[in-house]
Amino acid sequence: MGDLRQFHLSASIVQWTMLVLGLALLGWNIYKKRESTLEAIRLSIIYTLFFIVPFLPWLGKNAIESDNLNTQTLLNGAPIGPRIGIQQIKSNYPPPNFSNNNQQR
Amino acid sequence: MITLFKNITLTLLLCFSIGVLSADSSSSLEYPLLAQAKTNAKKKNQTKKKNNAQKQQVKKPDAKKQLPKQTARNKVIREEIQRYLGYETLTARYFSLPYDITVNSNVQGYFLEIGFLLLMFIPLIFLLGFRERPLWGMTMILLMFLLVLLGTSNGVIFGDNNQIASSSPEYLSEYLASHSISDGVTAYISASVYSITQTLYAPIKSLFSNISGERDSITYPLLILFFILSYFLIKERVRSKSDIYKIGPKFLLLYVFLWLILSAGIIWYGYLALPLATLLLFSAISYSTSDGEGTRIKKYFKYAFMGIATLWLLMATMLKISNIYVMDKNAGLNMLDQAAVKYQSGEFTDKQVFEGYWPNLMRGIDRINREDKSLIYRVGTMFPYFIRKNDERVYTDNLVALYEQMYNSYGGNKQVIAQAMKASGFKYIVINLNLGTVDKTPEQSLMKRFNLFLNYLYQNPQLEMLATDRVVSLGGQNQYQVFGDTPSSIVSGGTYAIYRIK
Repeated sequence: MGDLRQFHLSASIVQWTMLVLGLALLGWNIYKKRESTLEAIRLSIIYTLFFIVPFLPWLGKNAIESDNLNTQTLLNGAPIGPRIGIQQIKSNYPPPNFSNNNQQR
Repeated sequence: MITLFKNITLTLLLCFSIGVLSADSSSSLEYPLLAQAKTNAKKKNQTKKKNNAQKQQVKKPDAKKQLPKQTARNKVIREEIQRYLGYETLTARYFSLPYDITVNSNVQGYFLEIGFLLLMFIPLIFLLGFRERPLWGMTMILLMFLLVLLGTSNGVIFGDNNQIASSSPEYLSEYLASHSISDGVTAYISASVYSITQTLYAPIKSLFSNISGERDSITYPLLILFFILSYFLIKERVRSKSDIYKIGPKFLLLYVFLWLILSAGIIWYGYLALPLATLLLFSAISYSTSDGEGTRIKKYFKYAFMGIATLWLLMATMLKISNIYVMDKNAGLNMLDQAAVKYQSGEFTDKQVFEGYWPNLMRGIDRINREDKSLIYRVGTMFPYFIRKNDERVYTDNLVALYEQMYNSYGGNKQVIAQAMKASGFKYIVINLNLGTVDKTPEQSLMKRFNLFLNYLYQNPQLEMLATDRVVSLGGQNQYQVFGDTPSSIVSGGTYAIYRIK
């Protein structure tokens, strides 16, 4: 998010280290206090499901509009405005040297 | 103990989820323009990747301290997003943020103003609670001192005529040598304090320049360690309090941590933290001064807080109701926004209000709205709001990234570029004439690109200027035009211009 990942060379290592440590601690929690930990997980799942319900129409609209199931487009929707880039502009109006090359060919 | 492990587990799993989410991130949260630029650049990168996949050799240069590869996307991110985070070494960027967002070191603007109460009093609340536990108190002081060093040494001062200047040691020495306190009280005091903290910061700076830079491997682990340390500080501080006082600060810490690592210092992505922290501050002060202990220092603290908070409220109210952009001898007359007052009292119609804010604007907008098929190339401004079918017609290129690509593709020939734009359906150009002031990058890359774009508009026979609020001297007369006889012939800088591609 915010495209800051490019600055952090260790981001992937940190990410997987966190997963391993998190799962290890979760296992330890289940081992020591099985009932209360499972209860916490159960409640978390229920909260998450109820949290998602009011967002579903929004997510559906974004998925339909963007024709994409990417996390970012699901959250933010399709970009507004005409979808045009330099490739299309060049294709609509080839730069002079491109035309010359084509002519030569 | 079990609760503690659960909390840590949750945090670590959360960090992993964030890592996964941000892995393919091309967030369009910031601005549609950026989203467009990113999408285009991303597609280009993907194509390039495919083409180069076979050619790539395994060669890893030392990426540390180097700028990320200067793709169009990275340039835009550096100019648009990173300005909120700052351009110092990566580690300092994050740890100086509490100070930066309070004094607006990185980007200045009323919309970024959060006041100084939180930065001033939250550390004091901690210290007040650790009076009986000197070890935790000393840890807190050390931590805050480090943050002060990092913040002030990478901050700015408001020098002559409120101009913003960097806090580099060279500038500070020069400023202190050539000014006295009567030249600017706050600037002089700030410069004096900054010159001390700069000296103390020197070894840390040297350390950071060795281990960090534009990119590094240690900042994320350090931020996570900082989060865990802060968690323990809060845990100790609220140990004997009720559940609500235990949960609130921990939730706030988690929220601030997520904002810190995800939001590039952009304050509005963390707005929830402001009321939460303010509530926490008031409740902590109320709690600590009404628990029966009533020590003298707590009373002094309470009165100091009430006095400073009242002062801040008065200042904030003045800021809110005043027109701070006109600071001359008629400032008293301009305290209230005249156009808004006259509109609300029925003296002005909406068109008169527009004319007051942006002379000639509606003439240009009316022309654009004659039909709703042609595309509009927009560089800044909020005017798409007034344009019919703006969601389909307005292409936003706020950082002129697409223009630079066109410039490179068509050899900088302004007439050819105009023809290429026309061939792609563009008919109008809407431009913010002050876009260059957004640029905070040390290399001033956006300013250079914007000047290229201005050159494209200058005496381009393929373009017709429809409207602007800039006044220039042309042939001895003041006229609404973008370019005058010479660069110095601008009488009133103005804010916008609208062009038609012939």
